[in-house]
Amino acid sequence: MNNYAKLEVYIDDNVVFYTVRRYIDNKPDPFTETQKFFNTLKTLGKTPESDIMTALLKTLSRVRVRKEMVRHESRVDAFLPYGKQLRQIFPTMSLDKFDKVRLYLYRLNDYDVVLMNGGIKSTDLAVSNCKDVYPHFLFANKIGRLLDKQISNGDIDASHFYHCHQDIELPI
Amino acid sequence: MKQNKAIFKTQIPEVTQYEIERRMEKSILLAEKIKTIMDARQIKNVDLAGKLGIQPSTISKWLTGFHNFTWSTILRIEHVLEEEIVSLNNFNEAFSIEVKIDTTVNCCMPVGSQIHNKVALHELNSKTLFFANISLNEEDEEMSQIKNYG
Repeated sequence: MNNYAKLEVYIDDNVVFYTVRRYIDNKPDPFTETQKFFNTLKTLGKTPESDIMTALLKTLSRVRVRKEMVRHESRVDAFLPYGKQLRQIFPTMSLDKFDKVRLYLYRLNDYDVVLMNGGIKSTDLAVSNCKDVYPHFLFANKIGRLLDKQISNGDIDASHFYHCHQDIELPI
Repeated sequence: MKQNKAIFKTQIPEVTQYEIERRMEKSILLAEKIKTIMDARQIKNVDLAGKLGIQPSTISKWLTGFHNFTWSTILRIEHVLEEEIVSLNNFNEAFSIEVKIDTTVNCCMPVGSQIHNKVALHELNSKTLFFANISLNEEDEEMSQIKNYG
């Protein structure tokens, strides 16, 4: 079995959002990890969450993704940093569970961000107690570790990530 | 009372996707503008917090891009940073669009004193609303007397 993950461009603007596609035995997964995240929200009928995440990515792609804008999740980060703060800008929306939405990402810098999968945490406890989101947390951290390693080895030139991302193959 | 609140909640209209996008955009861009000014002037969160008399953590929350700023807060920040964050200076330009006046169709022109620098609503028979940018000078005087042009 030859299983690996490759990176693809998801949104190409001032910020480049990449995403990850799994290859199982050299066969590409029909959906990228981020597509799967949005598919999950749709399946759950989570329209406001889906709209907010789409609007967030669209807006951030025009500016930059600063570290204050993400939530620290072990080796990787996640959107959104303060789900409860969304109440301030969307006071009339029912956002009771919005602070439980996680979209995992690996931030190389303010302008290169690798988006992965995520979901809606079904518990108030740590993510390890949520069977829906925890596998994505583990996978995102695995990808994060592999990217960290390749960058520190010099196998990946982080300053020219846009030009070399297609050559990156991460064993999974 | 609780029942009234429940009724009130059900009457709140759904937030449209357009509204979500605009709110998200304005909120993030406002935070980004503040951060850009701070970076350009090498002002740290602690410095800004000190000048505003608030906790540095509050500045961090503002800069996440998910804060609903009040005008009062914006004005205080503008005062401390000595730079306008939200500008309405181009207010006049926003309401005047240069346009070609089609003389082959009937249009109503305001007369005399009604014409200033920025005029004028010309509702043509196509029901399209036109805005014209007209300056009054001596040559325009004659034109300004024409009520029904065309």
